[in-house]
Amino acid sequence: MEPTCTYGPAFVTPLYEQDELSLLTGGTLRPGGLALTTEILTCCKPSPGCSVLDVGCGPGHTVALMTTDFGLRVTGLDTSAAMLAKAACLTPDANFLKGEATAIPCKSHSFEMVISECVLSLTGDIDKSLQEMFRVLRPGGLLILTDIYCKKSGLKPDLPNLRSCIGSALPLEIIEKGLYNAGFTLHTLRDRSDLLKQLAGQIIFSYGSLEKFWQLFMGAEAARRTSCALAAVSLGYYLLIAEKGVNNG
Amino acid sequence: MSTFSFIEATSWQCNGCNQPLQATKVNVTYLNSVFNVELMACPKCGVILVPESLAVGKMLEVEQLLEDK
Repeated sequence: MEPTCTYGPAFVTPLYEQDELSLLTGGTLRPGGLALTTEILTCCKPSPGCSVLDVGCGPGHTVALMTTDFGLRVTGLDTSAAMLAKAACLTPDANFLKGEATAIPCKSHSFEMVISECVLSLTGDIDKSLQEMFRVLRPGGLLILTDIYCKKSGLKPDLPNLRSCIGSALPLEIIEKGLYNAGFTLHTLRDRSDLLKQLAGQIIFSYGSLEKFWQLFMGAEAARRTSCALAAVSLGYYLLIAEKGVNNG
Repeated sequence: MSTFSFIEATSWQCNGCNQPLQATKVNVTYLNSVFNVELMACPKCGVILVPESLAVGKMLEVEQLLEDK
């Protein structure tokens, strides 16, 4: 049963499936868009033909980019059949799987790279998700993550029923601990909160205010509460690259 | 789809080109971030009219947002 919103009409469609967010982000549904993805991939220099898993591929823009611009063999994983259908239209040559990050439906050591953008905090159990990403990577493989984080521990935004990464942002210490516990070695960690602010600023220019943007998806009172809750917490955006050591089986 | 616009009928004309302004999508660079905004601009030379509601209204909101807490 879908949860319902206490403060307004039922909000049953996740934020990342809303067309309004898609239009603002060039289809990618996350801060930084494909420019950030390109920046990271250029930094990692994956060899053409390298096998990559995109965990939470959404409408598949990163899958398309990795396939066409980088010549990678890409598998997209998502929980949403609607998103997978869009992704398959965009890149018919790629493989697509429906499933959860916490139980990746792939054999161990299947991929040389795993990428997951603005998804980890939404998976419900980041420790389990990171363990799964570690399992499906080959020894020496790279994990690329971008996501929202909470700058102050213990200050999670009290949001109405909004299924979005901003409602489940975690402190960086928790994410780093999860990586370490899963077996990863952290290579690069960069703060890209500028991209989150850029997106929020673009929302103000496009919709008049953040509150009016939230009103597209929920009642006026819930939108007001959401705006107030987000103003009270400090959210950031990170990108990181971690490695599964060559001696890890 | 955007539900907010700075576009409004205006009697302003471009002084250099003597052209009526037209709604144009422009990139606004502000505090090291780039935003796509639709504003009235000269179709010939590209000079842009920044309305007061943008200069002292939305810019302030965005400025407060971009400031580090």
